[in-house]
Amino acid sequence: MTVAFANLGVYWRAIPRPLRIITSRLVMLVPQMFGVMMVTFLLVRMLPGDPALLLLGNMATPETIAAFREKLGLNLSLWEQFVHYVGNALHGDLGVSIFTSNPVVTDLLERAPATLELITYAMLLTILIGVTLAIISVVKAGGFVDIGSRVYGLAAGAIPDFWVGLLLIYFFFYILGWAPAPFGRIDTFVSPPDTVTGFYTIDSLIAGDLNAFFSSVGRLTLPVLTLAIVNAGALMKMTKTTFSDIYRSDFIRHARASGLSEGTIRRVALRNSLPPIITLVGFMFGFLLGAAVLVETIFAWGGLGQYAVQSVVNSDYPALQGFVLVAAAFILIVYTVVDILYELADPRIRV
Amino acid sequence: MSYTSIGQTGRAVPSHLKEISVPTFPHTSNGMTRRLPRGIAAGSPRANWRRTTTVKGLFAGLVAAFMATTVLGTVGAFAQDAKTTLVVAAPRTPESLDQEYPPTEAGHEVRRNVFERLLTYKQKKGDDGIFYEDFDTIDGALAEKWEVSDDRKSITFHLRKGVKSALGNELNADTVMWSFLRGWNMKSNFHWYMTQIFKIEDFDTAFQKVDDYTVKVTLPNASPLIERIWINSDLGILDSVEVKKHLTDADPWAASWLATNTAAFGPYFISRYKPGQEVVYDANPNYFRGEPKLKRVILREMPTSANRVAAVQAGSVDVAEYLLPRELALVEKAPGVEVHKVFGNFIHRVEMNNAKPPFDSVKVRQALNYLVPRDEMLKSVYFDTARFTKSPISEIYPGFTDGFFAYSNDPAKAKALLAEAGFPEGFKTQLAYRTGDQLEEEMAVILKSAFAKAGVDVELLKLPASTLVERYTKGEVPMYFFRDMAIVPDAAYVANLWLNSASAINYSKFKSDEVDQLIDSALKSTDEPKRLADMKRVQQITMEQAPWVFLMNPGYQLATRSNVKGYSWYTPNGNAFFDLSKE
Repeated sequence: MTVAFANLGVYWRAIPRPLRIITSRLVMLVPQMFGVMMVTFLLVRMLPGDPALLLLGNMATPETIAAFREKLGLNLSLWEQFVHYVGNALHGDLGVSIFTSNPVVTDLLERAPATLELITYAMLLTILIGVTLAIISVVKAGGFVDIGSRVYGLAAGAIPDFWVGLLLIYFFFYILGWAPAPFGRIDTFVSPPDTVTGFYTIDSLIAGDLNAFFSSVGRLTLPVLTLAIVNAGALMKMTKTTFSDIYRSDFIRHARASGLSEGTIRRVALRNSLPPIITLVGFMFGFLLGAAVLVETIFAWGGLGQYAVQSVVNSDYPALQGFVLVAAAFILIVYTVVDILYELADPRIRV
Repeated sequence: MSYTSIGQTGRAVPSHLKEISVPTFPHTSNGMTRRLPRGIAAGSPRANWRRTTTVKGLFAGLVAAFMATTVLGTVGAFAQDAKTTLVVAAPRTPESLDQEYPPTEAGHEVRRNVFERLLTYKQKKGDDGIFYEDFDTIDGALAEKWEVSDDRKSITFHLRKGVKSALGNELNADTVMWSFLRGWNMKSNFHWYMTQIFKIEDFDTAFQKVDDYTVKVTLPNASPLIERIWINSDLGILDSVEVKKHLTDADPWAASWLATNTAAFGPYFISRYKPGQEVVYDANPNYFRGEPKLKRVILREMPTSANRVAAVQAGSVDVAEYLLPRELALVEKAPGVEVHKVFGNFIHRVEMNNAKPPFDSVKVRQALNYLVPRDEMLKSVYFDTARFTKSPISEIYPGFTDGFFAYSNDPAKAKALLAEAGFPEGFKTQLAYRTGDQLEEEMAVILKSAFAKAGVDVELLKLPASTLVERYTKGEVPMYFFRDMAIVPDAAYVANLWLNSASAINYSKFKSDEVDQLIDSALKSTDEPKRLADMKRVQQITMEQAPWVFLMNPGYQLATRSNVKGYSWYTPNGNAFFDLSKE
């Protein structure tokens, strides 16, 4: 036995390190997902509220309520429901949403790209703003950007995203008329491109439909800006702390004394500040999936967050479970990527 | 239901994560170096150059894209024919397209526009220029003629010939019979009307095809509603030829197909159903009243009501549904926007649990009604878009009377009544309302301070909709807000829903033997004057017994651009796009 294990160990170590990291992380995903599925299933059932009563309204009679419960499978015991659910989920069937009448998988496939597109661009802009401001304010300490970023850093932690969103709509759509109407991912009179990735900006380019591309980028502008304005503050502050410590550290002083150019020194300093930045970006990315809900609602985005809130309010069990599964999968993937990047960025760290 | 807003969720990064300790000495990464092209060491001038340009290029590209598209995105929006396309901003898209799905406001709108029924009311123009249903005059729709037997136990429909669905399939007795059969077997809305109102027990004895264009429905007992029920928007006729193509062994009534597709004889069919985003209605060129003037209606979901206001003001949409009274007052003054107001059939009240103390006492219930500052509510919550509810029957329905309403704002009288009931010092209780319902929240706060004047200490409970419904169904909350409408314009039908102690939705547990008996007889009797007299008596008893705290008729309002003409109102409160046109 021990020999066999020892042999396995030899094979394992023979695999290149990045592959080893990725494989071991991916294997962990399976039990994690199953755990998430079980916990959410049980937690969702423990929520108060009865969808049958809410829906039937005037039509509620003992007979219609019973028929409705049977349709949803609510008449079975909890364990029977769970076994059915897992069995169906393995076949890619997450049930039918009570409040959209679509299979939950269809709903999620439509809404997840909407949210992902929004938060991906928002994250890119957040990183761009946050890191750029941080570096400039450290390198040119006491300068205009430094002082400005301090004020912004304070404000960004305090202003709520829905408020920023409403203000942007008010000025850029209502008063100035520069921004497109704040509802949906694409203009009402422009048909969305055929789905390839689900990102309208990418799909429209693939389809060669420039009209759809400009329309969808236009619609993205305000919500992406909202999310970036609110979230870049935190990233900026953290990058600034990390980067300024490193920028003033002994090895940078040594590099400078050795006559390396300022550009190289900044790059090396940034390179050494990466691990915490990666962590925070990963965290924010996962966090935004659910936290973008207010921005989604304001801009009528039709994304995952809105779906989740509606399903909680309406006790739409299949939809809610579907959302939690997708969110969990997404966060696990993001964290896995973060861990992998982290290990690659800093070989001393074993996650 | 209210859809306007959602709770505030947590935001931004928890503070402990903002400061992550950082290694303060350098480390080089082999992994990183390896990824660079051979011959270029990290930090060499060339690698450095490559990286900065990428970052700069990306930044410049992004900025350019953002600036360009903000301007470009707005151009070309109204390229299509603006006169025949209507854009509607709605709080939410319908939950299902199937008329057997439980009735909701968004669902009723689909039914109004997609399905056609056997009978209808004639239209009449009100003094306000709005088209209403004339509840006294029934007209044929898909049934050209109909006959009711003298004993009012059977009705025979003679179907209009040559009526076609959007797909070109013709209406005949078979399509009607199959629609009935599906409704019966789906055990939902159709089944509810047939069993609860008509007391039908067996399908085959009740529904008969007489010939290819004639269908007969026979009831076990006489019913005063034998004609009116067929006008209900839940009882549309399906294009069975199309629907039958989508039957499967697991789904013999095409429940899943009809949930997201339409096939019927109404003025529109739905060509695109994207829940949470939009619904596209396209005109049925074969509609029997003629092709609709609006060829396409695009309904966009916009959950934030402030944005619906901004969109209709800016002209990005033609119609904004379900705005708050405050917003209506604002938008009414805007140029180019018109607000249509109907005092329809909604009744907004606080129901009390009549089965449990202290609300088992009539005097306590009356006392609370005397404590409501209705004028103040009307002004500060409803901005004068509502009216007082003075009866349990909707004011627009035949048989309504406000003659028994005596509840002025009279705290002294309320205190006296409470003292008589044995609560001279008042009592503690709870009042529940829906999360996200701004109007109910505002009213709850006003009621709390108003009730406190007589020592009634109210704890406010804010609950998610499904939790609230579950709890009042089980009788677990002493007081809760309730806003509802009954779509059949018949006083006995309405009273039966809310006031009959046998009704499953009489959640206030109101029980009066005389009311029960009057309602039961009115549901069977065909003597119309006596029915109306009995319903007057029911209103009198109800107002005296005060099972609810009577509040407001919030009405139904629709904000449109001024060039949208022909607004009409129907009892389910959904908009009828067929009646609308654009100038």
